[in-house]
Amino acid sequence: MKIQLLIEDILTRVNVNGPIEAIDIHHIFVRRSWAKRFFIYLSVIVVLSKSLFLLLSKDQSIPVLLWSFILSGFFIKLLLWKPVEKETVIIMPALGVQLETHYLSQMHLDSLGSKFLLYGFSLGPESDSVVFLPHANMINLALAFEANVVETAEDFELFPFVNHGRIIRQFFPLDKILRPVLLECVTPITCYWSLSLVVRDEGELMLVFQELRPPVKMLVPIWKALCATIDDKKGLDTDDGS
Amino acid sequence: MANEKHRILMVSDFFYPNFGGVENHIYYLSQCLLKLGHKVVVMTHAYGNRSGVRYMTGGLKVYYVPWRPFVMQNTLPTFYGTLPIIRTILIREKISLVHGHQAFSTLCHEALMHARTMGYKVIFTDHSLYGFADVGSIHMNKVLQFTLADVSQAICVSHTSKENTVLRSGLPPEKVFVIPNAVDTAMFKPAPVRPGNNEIIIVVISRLVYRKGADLLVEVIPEVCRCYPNVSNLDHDFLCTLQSHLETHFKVRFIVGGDGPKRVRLEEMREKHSLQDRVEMLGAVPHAHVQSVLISGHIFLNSSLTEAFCIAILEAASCGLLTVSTRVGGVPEACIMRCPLYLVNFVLPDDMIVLAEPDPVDMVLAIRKAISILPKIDPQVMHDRMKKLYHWQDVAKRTEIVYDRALKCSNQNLLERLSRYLSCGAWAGKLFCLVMIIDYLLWRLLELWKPAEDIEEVPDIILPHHQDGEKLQDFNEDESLR
Repeated sequence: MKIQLLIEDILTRVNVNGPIEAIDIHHIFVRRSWAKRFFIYLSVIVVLSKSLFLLLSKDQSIPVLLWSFILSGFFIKLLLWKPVEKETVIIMPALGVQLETHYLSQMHLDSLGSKFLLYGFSLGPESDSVVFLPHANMINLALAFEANVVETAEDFELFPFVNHGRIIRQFFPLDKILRPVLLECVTPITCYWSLSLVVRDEGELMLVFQELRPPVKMLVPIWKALCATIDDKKGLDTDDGS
Repeated sequence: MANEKHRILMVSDFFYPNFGGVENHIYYLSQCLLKLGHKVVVMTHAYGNRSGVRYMTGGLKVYYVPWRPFVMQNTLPTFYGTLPIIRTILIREKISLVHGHQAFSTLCHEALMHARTMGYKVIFTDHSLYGFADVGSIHMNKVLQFTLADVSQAICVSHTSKENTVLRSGLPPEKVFVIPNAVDTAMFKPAPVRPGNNEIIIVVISRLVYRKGADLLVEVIPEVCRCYPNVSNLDHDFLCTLQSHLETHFKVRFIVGGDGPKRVRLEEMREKHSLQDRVEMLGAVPHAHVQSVLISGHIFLNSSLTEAFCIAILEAASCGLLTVSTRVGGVPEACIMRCPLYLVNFVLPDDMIVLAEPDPVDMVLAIRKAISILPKIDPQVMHDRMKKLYHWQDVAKRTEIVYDRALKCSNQNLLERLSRYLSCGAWAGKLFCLVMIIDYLLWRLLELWKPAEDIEEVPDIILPHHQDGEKLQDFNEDESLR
């Protein structure tokens, strides 16, 4: 599973009449491995064919075939279940950090689905202003309109950030975040790096990336951006206090 | 002396938070190697909630791999289950050689096997003596033969241990180095004021198990108490002039620290002979409190039936105690003092240790002899002598030489290495070869599944010398991460 990082540092409006503030958005995409999918489906076909062949040629009982179906389904679900399309970290200075996990739906991206989404958002009252609401893909849409990338609904199907699956979001106000930390994690078979937030009043660290395990080269810029934001916030608080 | 700095992975099932000879050896050796400029990483299994990566004093990095202990603190032997994690650690830490400790550690054996498969140089240190006759020993010796068949170098803690290891494993003696253990004399210092002279206190600190001679204690303690029944407040100088009459004027008391299955026998002995006021049972003594227990006594009693080296004797001597010990295994070597010209080994004079056969009568005689020479003992002088004789920096420097020798060994491919395994036995040799071939194939499969280039190397944490705090320098300075 290949992971790629896309960092956006985009200027946008917090609200129509307010000052312009930079928002730091970090996307970690999963590049789909067609070879892996092909291999898995091929293996399943081989297993099912073998079971069917045994059933027809040697007069085996049907439960064997049924078990093959069940195990194959389980195998597919285990390896392809809840595929993650991307995970996003949105750093909003003076506000907080929003963590998002975007899951890929089983449907392929098609124009009908994209138009449906476009109409759904455009009818909303916050369609071109708010940046910190749970519907973070509205940010992308708003940004696209701001930047004149998308002018009509038909253009939207070319827009790369649309997704159809479930999205899980978590927002942490900056006041609650004590520090982002990079940790080494050890499992029985491997080691990996993880980026976590030390959150006030929480007994456990909050993982920034719940599903993916990006390499440390991708985590370091995000970690630095989080540290810079929190340090700026603390600096501002100190100045206000003094 | 070597200038090349190594990156060493120490592997054993026995490490902190456990305390013991092997654990202390790994810890102190690692600390001294770090001070010499080498990079040391320790790998062990998880202890309860202690799982993951931890850092100890001096930046010693420890991987507590979440493989639960199976029996007697040993990881479940899976042959190939630990291959992925060991490979990952070796690559990400840029390890140059692997150093395994203790023949009884399954994690050590598996790590050495996988490391050799991947082409790393490996070193093995044996800390214990094992028998040849019982089923457990036969099995353990076969496993050891397999592991040591392809090891680069081996280290034993005494000449007796070297002889034992060579006989058990069939390893060529020229591949085995003898590097004795040492003691942290800064931690084990004598008491500022010696305990009072109205009674003689004999300290015993060990696991109360069969191989530590707990059954001997059951017979020795009542006999010694019988020989020294009376209490007398005598002046120290007067004691020196009445050495021949000490038996009638001294009371002897025992302090027994430690726990184990034989504790019940000692408790029964105490009850049977009504020695409750003369034998104090402390139970398990935390390692941090061992020194305080030792300095409360005059004599240290070691009744082990087998010992490769016996660090406990060094700890007791460092605290200024006169030692009485069984003459077994490497114990006599623990008392060898090298003359300045390294020409001749002299056994320490009798004013430092009294040896006895592992027999109750002989041990009682040894204790009586020790009591008679007790007034001549100066704890501070003894401590100063120990400081010069045994220190971990010396052990580290000698181990460094072994590392250099190991790295100079030639690289061999799989076929050349298989010939070594074939010589392990008619059937065992073929089995060992099969195990190594499967290990090699699994390693190749792992290389395809997750190439070494995909495993990120870990930046080193550099500790500043002025102790202003740690700084993860490499993350900020590594241009490749920008």
